[in-house]
Amino acid sequence: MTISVPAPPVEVRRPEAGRGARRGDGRAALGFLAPSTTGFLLFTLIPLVGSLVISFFAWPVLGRKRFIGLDNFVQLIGDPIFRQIMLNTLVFVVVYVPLNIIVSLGLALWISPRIRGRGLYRLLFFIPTVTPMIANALVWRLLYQPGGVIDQTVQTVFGVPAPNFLGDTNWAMAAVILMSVWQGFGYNMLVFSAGLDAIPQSIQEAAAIDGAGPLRRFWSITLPMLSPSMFFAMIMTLITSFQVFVQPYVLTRGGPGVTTETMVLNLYRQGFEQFDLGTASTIGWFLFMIIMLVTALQFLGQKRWVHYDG
Amino acid sequence: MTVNNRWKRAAAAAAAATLALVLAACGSGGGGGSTTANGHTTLTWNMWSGSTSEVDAWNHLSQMVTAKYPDTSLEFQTSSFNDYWTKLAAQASGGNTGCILGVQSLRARSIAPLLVPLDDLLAKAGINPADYDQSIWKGLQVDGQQLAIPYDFGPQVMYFNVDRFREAGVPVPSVNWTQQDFLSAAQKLTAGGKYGFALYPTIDTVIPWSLSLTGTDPVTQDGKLDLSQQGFVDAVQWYTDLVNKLHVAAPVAASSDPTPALSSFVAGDAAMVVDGPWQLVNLVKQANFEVGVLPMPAGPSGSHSQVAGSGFGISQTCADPEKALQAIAVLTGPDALQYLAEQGRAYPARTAQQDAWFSPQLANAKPGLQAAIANSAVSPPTENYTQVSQLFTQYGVQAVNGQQSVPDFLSSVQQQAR
Repeated sequence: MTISVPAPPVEVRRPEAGRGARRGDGRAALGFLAPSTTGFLLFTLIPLVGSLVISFFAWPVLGRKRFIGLDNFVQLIGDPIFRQIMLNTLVFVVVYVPLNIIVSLGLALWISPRIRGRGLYRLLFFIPTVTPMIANALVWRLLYQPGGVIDQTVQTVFGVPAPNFLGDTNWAMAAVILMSVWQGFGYNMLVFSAGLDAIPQSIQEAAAIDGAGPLRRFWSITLPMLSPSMFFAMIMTLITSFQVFVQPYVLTRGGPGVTTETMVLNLYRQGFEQFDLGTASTIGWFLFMIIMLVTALQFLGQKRWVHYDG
Repeated sequence: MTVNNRWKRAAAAAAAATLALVLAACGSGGGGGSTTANGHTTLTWNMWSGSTSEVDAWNHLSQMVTAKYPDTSLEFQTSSFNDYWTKLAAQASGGNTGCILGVQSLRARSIAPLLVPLDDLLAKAGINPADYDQSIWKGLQVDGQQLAIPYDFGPQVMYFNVDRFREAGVPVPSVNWTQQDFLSAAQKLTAGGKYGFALYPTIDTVIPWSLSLTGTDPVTQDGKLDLSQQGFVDAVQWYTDLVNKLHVAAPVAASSDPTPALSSFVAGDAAMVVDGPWQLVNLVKQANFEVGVLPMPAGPSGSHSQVAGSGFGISQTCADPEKALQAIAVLTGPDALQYLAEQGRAYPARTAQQDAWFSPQLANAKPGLQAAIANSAVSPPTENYTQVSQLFTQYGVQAVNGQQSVPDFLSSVQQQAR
């Protein structure tokens, strides 16, 4: 154990007792760690390694499994359809994350002063997040479809039919993103709302007395003091948006063509519709590496804009 | 050894035992889908279903099995038709399928490695192939081996909204109607935000058009798919023109609803739709109008549809295949099929029970369905039918809406299906 190496003089006086106690502590610690370690091994590490192993095989659900080295990775990189799917995922992330942050921050700011019925607004805005996404997506599908509510409204107001949102390659991804923002802003709004409440009113007042207008106060006080919350929200939203699955699965099944097919949806289809577990695992590892990279970059970049001191 | 130490050892042993139990529990539920206790065998039966009344019908059949063989009972496990194949694949990868599996003729080849060939077992179980409609009996063979015993079958038929025809003053077509009759009816019925026809690009509902218009089956006789055959390309072009050029059917949207065309027919938004006879009982219940049944309208090659049907097979992992086949003999026996027919659940694969299907409420479907059956063709099962039908629907949306040309659409499906 490394702890006993730089032994301070106090402990030298009673080496027997000290070492013995520590050894006993080690065993006890092991005992306490066992449940979580077992869980981690069984449900995280072993499946993780298992999927890495599978990604080096041609692994059909039915039939012979064959070791093929890096072929799965090479094939995926060379596959124009998979590149399109990665691009779709990237488009989703790049459009969805800023939209989500803007909408949730805007709403959090709006309900941050002590306005009447604040709790009610919070509850209302949080409802989409707690309702099952499958149900939400089904309702949105009814809204979007030709002859649906949106189409009928546009017909009445403008006299022309609305685009066939889920059938048109130019609109399908926009429709999926819009539904996702509606579904997802509530969580970040709560995070921002709590962060805003934690900013001491006295600082804002002091700045106001010094002559800072509302915009200046927002830019120089609210935003910097909210930056830890924003950092957390961005990390979590980025990770979950790279993993987007349910919205395209229920709204469009990735169609038309592969216009709304994302990496996780493609992973699911490769594994459970094309029955090719090798390719599915490889996609999983691609996604894992992308998310790791993006998250690492965010942590590196946080020094520039995240302020932890009050 | 101190008391404390002993206590720790005991705790560690208990923890280890608990872990072992948890692991054992994770591994259980397997055993090839059958368990035997006190001489009583429980067989797991995996089957798709689309409604609770369907589940009730299957459970009724499982009681028929226990009534005949008191030492056997079936545990019914179900999911929707599309999810069934996904779930089966997932279970198969864990070596953990049920004992009795639902098998659809078009998808039989893709799950053939999971199934036990039944040819040598039939006589002992008292199953006589001659009792069944030969098209579906052969439809459940792969490379000459019988993999499942059929319970139902049927060609695709044209459903039409009789009330809409009457209101619009369009003569109700006869079983000898032609493609021109179809087009003129569809054009007359397209008005006021409603359409004459509802379509959705599923390969099952496109093949009958191809068979009737150009006589082309995209599935070749050796079980390969060739979507780029000129005859099939022409037929799909004609089909997409219904939306793009003639505007007698609504544009489609990408969807997770398995049967959007049928849904819009039931809602009264379209007057005609193509689907299988197994939908008729649901249609009669859900639609608030009179539903008529016709064979496909005759094109230059006549009026044809491929036959699809389903049955039950035994999984390779089943520990007790003989008992399973006994149960299947009951599930596809005269009494069970009579019951399913009277319920309108399934058009019986046994020829002697077929009349029972035409109960009073379905009686007017008889001439249309019988004409369709008389002209039906058997598509050989293909290995990747599940994949092809998924890709066909996924890319077909663009083709139907005119955002991709038909040859491009078919060749990209053909390429990806390999």
